[in-house]
Amino acid sequence: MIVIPDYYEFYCGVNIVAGHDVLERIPELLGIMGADAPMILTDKGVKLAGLADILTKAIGNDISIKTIEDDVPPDSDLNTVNNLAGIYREKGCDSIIALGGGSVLDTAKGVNILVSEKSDNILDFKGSGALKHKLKPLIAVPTTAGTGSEVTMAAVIADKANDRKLLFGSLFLLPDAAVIDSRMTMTLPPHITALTAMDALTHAVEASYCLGRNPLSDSYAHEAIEMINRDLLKVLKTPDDKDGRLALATAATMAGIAFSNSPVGMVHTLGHSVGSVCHAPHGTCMAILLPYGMEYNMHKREERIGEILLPLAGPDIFAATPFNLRAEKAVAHIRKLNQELSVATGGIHGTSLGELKDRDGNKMVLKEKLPDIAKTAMGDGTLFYNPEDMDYEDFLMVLEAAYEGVPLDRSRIKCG
Amino acid sequence: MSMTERFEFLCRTKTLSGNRSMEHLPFELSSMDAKKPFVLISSSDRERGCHKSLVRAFEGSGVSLGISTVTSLDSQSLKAQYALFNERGFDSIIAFGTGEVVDMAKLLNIVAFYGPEILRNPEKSLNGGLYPLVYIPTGAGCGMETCNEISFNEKTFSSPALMPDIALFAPEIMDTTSIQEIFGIRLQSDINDLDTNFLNINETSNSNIKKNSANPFINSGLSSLSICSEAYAMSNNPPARAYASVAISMVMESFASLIMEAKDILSSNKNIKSHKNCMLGKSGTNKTSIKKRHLKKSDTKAMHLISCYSNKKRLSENMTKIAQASAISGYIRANIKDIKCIEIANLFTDSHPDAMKNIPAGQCMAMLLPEILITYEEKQNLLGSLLLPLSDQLTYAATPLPQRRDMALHSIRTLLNDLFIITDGRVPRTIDDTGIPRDNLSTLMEQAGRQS
Repeated sequence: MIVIPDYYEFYCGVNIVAGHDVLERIPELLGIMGADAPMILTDKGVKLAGLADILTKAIGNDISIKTIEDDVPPDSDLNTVNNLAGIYREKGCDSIIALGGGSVLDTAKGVNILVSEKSDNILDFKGSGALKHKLKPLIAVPTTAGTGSEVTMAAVIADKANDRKLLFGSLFLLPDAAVIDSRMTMTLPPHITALTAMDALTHAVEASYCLGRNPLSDSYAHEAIEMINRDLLKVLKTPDDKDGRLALATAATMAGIAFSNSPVGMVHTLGHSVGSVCHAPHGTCMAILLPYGMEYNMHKREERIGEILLPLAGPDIFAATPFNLRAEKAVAHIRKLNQELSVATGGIHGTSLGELKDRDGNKMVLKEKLPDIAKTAMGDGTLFYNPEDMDYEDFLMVLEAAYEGVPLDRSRIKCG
Repeated sequence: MSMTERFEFLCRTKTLSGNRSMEHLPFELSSMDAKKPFVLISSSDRERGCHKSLVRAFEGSGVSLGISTVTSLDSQSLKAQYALFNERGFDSIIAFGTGEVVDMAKLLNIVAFYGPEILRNPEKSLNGGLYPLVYIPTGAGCGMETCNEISFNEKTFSSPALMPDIALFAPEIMDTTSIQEIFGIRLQSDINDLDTNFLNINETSNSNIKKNSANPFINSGLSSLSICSEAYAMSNNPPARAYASVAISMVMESFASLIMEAKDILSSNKNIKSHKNCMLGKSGTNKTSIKKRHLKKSDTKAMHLISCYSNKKRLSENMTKIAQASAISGYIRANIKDIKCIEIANLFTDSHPDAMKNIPAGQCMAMLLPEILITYEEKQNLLGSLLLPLSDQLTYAATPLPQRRDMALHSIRTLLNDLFIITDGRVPRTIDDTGIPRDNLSTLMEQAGRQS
């Protein structure tokens, strides 16, 4: 039965172009938008991996790439945006191709605001709805299969001088096209493949059961979950599986559209905080915390979480599981998937916060830091769409269970 | 579904859905820098007064509306609308209605943005953009409203810019009729020879229902179901499948709800008919005594309940679902090429105008759909997966993989069979029901082959 809320909105005006050889379509896509002199924005890691070369070769000589800029830091900031906007103008560019992940995309969106609005002060456009006009053509070429930032209408840019993060939100920030090419993710190492896919899976699952869900976001989430379930372990076993890589990248985009229209909940609230306090990778936090988010909200969303078992585990398991056990089975399936990913990545993929280690083998999340993480979570806006409320004790309870890697004691949840 | 093929999908229309969704419009228009929208409306919708809720939604918003009635879709009317739009400085268009109202809105948008001379040059690119366009259906729609095309005077403009910026679905403004009218159920003939003064059944009047009349609700639902089912079953396009899946579910659920209601009405009607026979002494019972003893209170009330059976709210919700499915079929048309059910239905209509004159495109597409789906032999897994939106999670999961394809086809055929019964045979189940001679089919298929 399709559930239609009293009111809902759904939008994704990005032209999604996906395939094994679609980078070659970029000159045509730009041409349709009346552009032929793009700036390519990327970061040093992506360039080092040779992806910028693949892109420029695919574009060929049909259009004139004015400049390739790779000076985008892991956290986009105002100085970078201002500098790049200056280069854009100086070189006479008329469009942007953003090649990379979330930070590159956010930087590209910031640059696009400045050059399109002919402004030197991006602060004039912060917040939601400040932009009123279409911006310069922007094409996103994602190089990971997780963030979904190629289809989101927001950008976060750090104002380091004032130690704050600025949020920009507008339909006009959506890229004109997202070009998803399997060549861009073929060389991702196994643990990055795993954590980015789990990031996408978390977007889809949370979008499916949180308060903003609607028929279209549910449908996008369903397709994304099904593709990740079908292809993730397969790709880890056979990394050069082009079809599988493309499916994972497409799933990430689909999940991005789902959560852009049905915002995420407490898994992201806690994940942001663990990342902020302990610098643990976002995707890993998502993978570990996702079963806890489902368990914590189960008393309010049992039927819906049970329905997720179908794309998550497949029709046979779904049909063989009694109605009242489907939600728990869905949680168990995510935990099992995390275990399998841990094995497939030689133990790099974490299954509990307590076992996360940095490159030097040091623990990333210390038990004594859990109260700090819980406090940080209290100020995170993503909790707004979580079905059940949470206070400091609730956050701490979930964090302690996730630290040990044990199921949540659901009898301790304060049912609101 | 394996990702072996490239795909592309663009839907630049934002969906707003729900009661009071029109209250969001001033903000939505303002975010597109539009302050003075021009509302196009049909004369029948204007008479119904449903645009008043639109006017109320803009009260106090600082946005001023201009409202103009669309009486016909021709050069003169377009010229008149253009003059109004231009002279009064409007900056956006709201198409309040379906069909010709939206066609006029799209044409006006092109002419207003690029100047009237563009009508002589449809090859010209519309990449420069258009004014913001909002589509607010008041009925089921035909699917072309949200598509990326518009034809006028045998010229066709095609561009993603022609898709509305916003499609807004508000159940409270849907032009709902009644279950009887949707399916053409004729209760009147059965009860005409009862004592109408005594029963006071004037509310059941079905004077608008004509034999073979094509209710847009059924046609729109079947058209959306056919286009979306074929796209779902034949394409490796996940965003298109996600949209199509929602449309298929919406159509199936709406029809299931309405068919159940219609069957109840028919069943009640049958009981009354036998009761009537009883009253008329066919079973030897005294007519007068029954009238007095049984019909005076309880049966009068029952008849009244039947005549008012259609629950307005449920109907408007179902109409909204069909309108949304129809809008989605427009997005699918814009993104998936070579949908066979559209092409072959057109072929049937063109080649057999007499046989098909009472069978609208949607009904023809649905009649052909099961056989068309079977032609995608190489994609049987995709065809099997169609069972999920056609039924429900449990039916899908409980059906073994090798049986899903047949179950999916069975679901479509069962729907058509139900519609055939309820509409007294007006919705065809098979080509044979249309009266097209079997001998003509091979010629038709040759034509289809040449076209494809």
